[in-house]
Amino acid sequence: MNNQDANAFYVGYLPLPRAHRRALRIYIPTLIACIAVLGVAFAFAQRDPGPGAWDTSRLREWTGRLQALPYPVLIDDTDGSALLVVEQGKHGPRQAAHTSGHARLRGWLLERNGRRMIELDPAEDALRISAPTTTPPPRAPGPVVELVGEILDAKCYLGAMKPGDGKAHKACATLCIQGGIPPMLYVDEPSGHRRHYLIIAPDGLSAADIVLPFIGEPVSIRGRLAKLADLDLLFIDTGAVTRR
Amino acid sequence: MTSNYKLVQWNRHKKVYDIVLLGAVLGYLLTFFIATTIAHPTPRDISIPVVAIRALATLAFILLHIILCIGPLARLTNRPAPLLYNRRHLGVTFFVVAFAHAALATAYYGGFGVRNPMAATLDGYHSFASISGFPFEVLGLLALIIFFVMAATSHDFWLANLSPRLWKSLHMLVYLAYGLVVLHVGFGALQSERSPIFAIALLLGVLTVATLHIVAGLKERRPGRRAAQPTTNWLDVGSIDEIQDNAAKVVCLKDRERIAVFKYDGKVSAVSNVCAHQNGPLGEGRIVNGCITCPWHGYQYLPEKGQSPPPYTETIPTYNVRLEGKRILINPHPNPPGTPVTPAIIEATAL
Ligand code: FES
Repeated sequence: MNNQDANAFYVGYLPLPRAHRRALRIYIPTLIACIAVLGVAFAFAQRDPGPGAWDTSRLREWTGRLQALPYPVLIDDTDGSALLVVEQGKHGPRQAAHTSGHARLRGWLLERNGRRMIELDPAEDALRISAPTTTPPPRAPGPVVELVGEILDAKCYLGAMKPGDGKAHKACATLCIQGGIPPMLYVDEPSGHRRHYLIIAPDGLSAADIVLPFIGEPVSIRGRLAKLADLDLLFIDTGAVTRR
Repeated sequence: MTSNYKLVQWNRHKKVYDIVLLGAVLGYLLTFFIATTIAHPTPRDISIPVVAIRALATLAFILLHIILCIGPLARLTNRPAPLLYNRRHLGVTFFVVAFAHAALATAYYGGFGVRNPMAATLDGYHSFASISGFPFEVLGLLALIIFFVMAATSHDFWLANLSPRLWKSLHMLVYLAYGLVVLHVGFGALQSERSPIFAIALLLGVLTVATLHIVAGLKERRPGRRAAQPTTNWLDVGSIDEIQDNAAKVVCLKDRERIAVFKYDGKVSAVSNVCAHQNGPLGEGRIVNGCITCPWHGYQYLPEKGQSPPPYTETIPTYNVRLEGKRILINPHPNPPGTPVTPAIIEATAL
């Protein structure tokens, strides 16, 4: 580098001094390469969002016994398994779904680890109930348990948003539960198996108000277990949830 | 308005700069999308809007760090000057990216529900007392508001209408906003991500920004720059041998006022170190075509007059100066901006 280069002074509206041109030829590509490397590193470092799936490509039909819990559940005629029922967007099911009876439902399937949910077609005839019955809400005769996990809205978690858990999704999960999407607890068991519980207040009411302050955070939660078909239910009282 | 804009108009450098910047922005977003698709294939894929929110977030994070590092880097070496020259475009680009991140996150996480999306995002039953419940979205919004004020006032129009000092202090808020961004990431993404890469990147970012600012600050304080010793009411600010031809020495007075002492054409002149445009450090500039030329955007001043060459009208304070042998003496009381001062002539015997 000659002396003139060492003293080169850059003025935006004058031609670029040689030393600056040379420096820029090295700096700019290096900087851009570093940025690209960071982008790839960040992309790969993102956490696994889990295997949730939301099949919006195929509208399906189900028949079964609709059980009007605080959150409607369909017991599928074909295999006797339980499906949760919600509407499009961040909304719980329509009023009509709160009647028990034999029902025919049309909608889209969400599924994660074998836990299934129906997102109803917004058309009115997507839900038809024949022979309404009054089924008493399930009771909670099971033992009291203390579980550690995270409370989420079942819809995002099962595949509507991926990831549908964690801090960044907290506001969304809260909004979903305020809108009537069932709150669900997941618990990672020591075996590595992940278990899901539908959370319900004692007299079969919605537990939304109890869980709202704690969604998307690590919590421990006390309640009584019950079962509806293959669906685990957790009945909780006010004050059952504590932050960990 | 005067012809204030002349020196900072569209020119080839700016066009090249903007094309490279836009290319880098789009290139980054595309890289992030493609890499995410490869790293997280179906059925364990990440929702497209979430990928977009994260691509914008990480890009804004990187741009903010570049913006904060250019300033102190340019004080350490003149080489990044071409980047500094157009830092405003970088700043506005950063704001647009950060805003897109916020808008998309608010629409996606706060939309489709029973509440107003803003309300749902900012007030989701959070707890201020726990890390896992702290509403990190509020921190991001506060930072974004500050960035908005800065981006909106970055135009020279505001420089001409707000006093440069007010404008400068306004733009100092960037450090407050930076702190808010760091907390936004710390209470947000770092709480849900598991890879240490994100925490490491945040830590390295903060350390880099802090270190560069400290090193650049120390450079300003090094003894040669502080030298001023009063001789009656004139200050001895050093010897003419310390100054290269067509360059300056910066003298820092007790009250933190800075004076740029230029040597050129066998003469010495002293002016305020603060450029009338955006408070750029004139003492780090050079004499180009007989004018003091600011290192930031190239505004020019005649050294004897403290005025831009006609037809331009910017003025800066001047200082009376005289020589005693090789020693340079300066009267520390500034003359009003634009006051002509006879330069001290360097006698042949002093050379
Ligand atoms: S020319 Fe912009 S600060 Fe001096």
